[in-house]
Amino acid sequence: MRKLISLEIKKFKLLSYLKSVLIADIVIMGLLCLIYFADKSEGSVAFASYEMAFEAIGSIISPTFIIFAAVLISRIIIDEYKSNSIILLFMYPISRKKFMVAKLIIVACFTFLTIFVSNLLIGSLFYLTDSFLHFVPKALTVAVLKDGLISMTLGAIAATGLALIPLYFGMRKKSVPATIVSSIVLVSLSNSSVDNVNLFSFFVVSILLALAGCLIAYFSFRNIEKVDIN
Amino acid sequence: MSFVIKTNQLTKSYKGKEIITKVNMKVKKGEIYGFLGPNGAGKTTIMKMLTNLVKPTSGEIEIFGEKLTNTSYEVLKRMGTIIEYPVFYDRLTARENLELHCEYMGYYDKKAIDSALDLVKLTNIEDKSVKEFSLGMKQRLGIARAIITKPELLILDEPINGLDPVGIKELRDLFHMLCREYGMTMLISSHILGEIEQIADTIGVIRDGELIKEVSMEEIHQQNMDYIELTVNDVNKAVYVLEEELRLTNFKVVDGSRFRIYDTGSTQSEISKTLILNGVLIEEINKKNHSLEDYFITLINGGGISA
Repeated sequence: MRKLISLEIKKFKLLSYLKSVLIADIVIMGLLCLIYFADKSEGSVAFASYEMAFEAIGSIISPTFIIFAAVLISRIIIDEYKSNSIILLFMYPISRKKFMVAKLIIVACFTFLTIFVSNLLIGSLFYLTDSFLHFVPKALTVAVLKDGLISMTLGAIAATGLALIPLYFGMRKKSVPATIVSSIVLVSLSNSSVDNVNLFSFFVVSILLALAGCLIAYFSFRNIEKVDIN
Repeated sequence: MSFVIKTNQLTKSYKGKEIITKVNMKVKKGEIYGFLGPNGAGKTTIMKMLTNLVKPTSGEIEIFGEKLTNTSYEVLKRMGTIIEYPVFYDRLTARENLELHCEYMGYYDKKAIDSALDLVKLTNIEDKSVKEFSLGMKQRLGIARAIITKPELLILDEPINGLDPVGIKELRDLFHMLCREYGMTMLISSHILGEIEQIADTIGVIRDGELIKEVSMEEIHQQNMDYIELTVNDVNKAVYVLEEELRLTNFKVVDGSRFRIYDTGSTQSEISKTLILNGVLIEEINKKNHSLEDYFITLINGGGISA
């Protein structure tokens, strides 16, 4: 399986995506600066506490990389069908399930890791900047940091589940637009409903979403050994 | 006799419509089997079933003596294939594509890539991505990929599409070489009769999803000798005269006034001269060359074959 994954990465030159991830992170940081200055010019404080700041950072990062994941799904799964290279793939002496599991692992790991690492990176940079400029009125306490880390991890898990759901829509007609549009719709739906939730409900929601993602992936490829490839 | 491919009442239907009907084909070990039929006859579908891409609605496939099931993966290791048209990962170079292929097939002979590229005469392609290749080059690369692991069975769907005449000749030689020296068995499809004729040992003719004829080239050649057909006023006299004067023996009387001479000993002018001198009136004389093309066009009812 590790070999299949590394071959996929080589085949699609996925390492070049890391550059795109970095660019996305820089844009997100720019956006945060924009929020800060916009609020300042109106005379209000953008980030009253670190809790708020972490929440704001997370709510920009997750949607970004969920949509990024949809692009990845299009590239390594949907496109493979569209360009007919799936014929080639399924004529190798390896089970179709294994191929698909390898691809899904790539998508899931990519989503989780990019969200997690981006949160850490941007959060730390935010803290670093604040320690010089002191624009957040309340100081960072250990409790806030701990809560922030937990909700960040859960958020990444939830986003990973969410990121797999567009697979279902994309696979029905093997359509790249369907994959990406459904992912955008999902992101806007889920983001509007997540405010003022406590940690426990957040926990339940993220586990449910993760499960939903796994189920969708399972149902998309349940019959893969039996279907005709045309 | 051992068969590499054997199908038994192989049938496939899509949405209730049968597109492959009860095909029983047998490919012998070490032979080149030409799969001939007009476009849309079902050649590709059958090939997809043989490579496990498409699952039969009913009937069975045996490859290397083993029944093909949904999870027969090991058998794919022993095959090299091009189905429909050669597909590559366009952004990679030819070499990267072949390396990838070897990795997936579990074949680790670095020299094999070079020798395969040599065999199909693809050179100076090192830095080009496959996207920039012409159809003919892709076809060659596809064949290189199919033969790189020295498989026992090659399944090639329209391998000469997009090649120039010189390329076609080169490939024909390559196929013969692979068959002779590596003992590969080949299943090659084409709608171009002239090509199949020169390559194949056995020909399977497919029309509307049915295998209507499976015949060895040897048999075809025996059936298709040249002959001279004559229409005369008195057949018995004519036959008698020819037997006596020209020592011809191989006749076939078609009906009351027509007969055919299969002997090749005498020319047309000799025959007509002898007959006239002996008082037999000739109404018509024809030299017939029953070509392979006629043979197949009769089989396929004149539809869709180009030669």
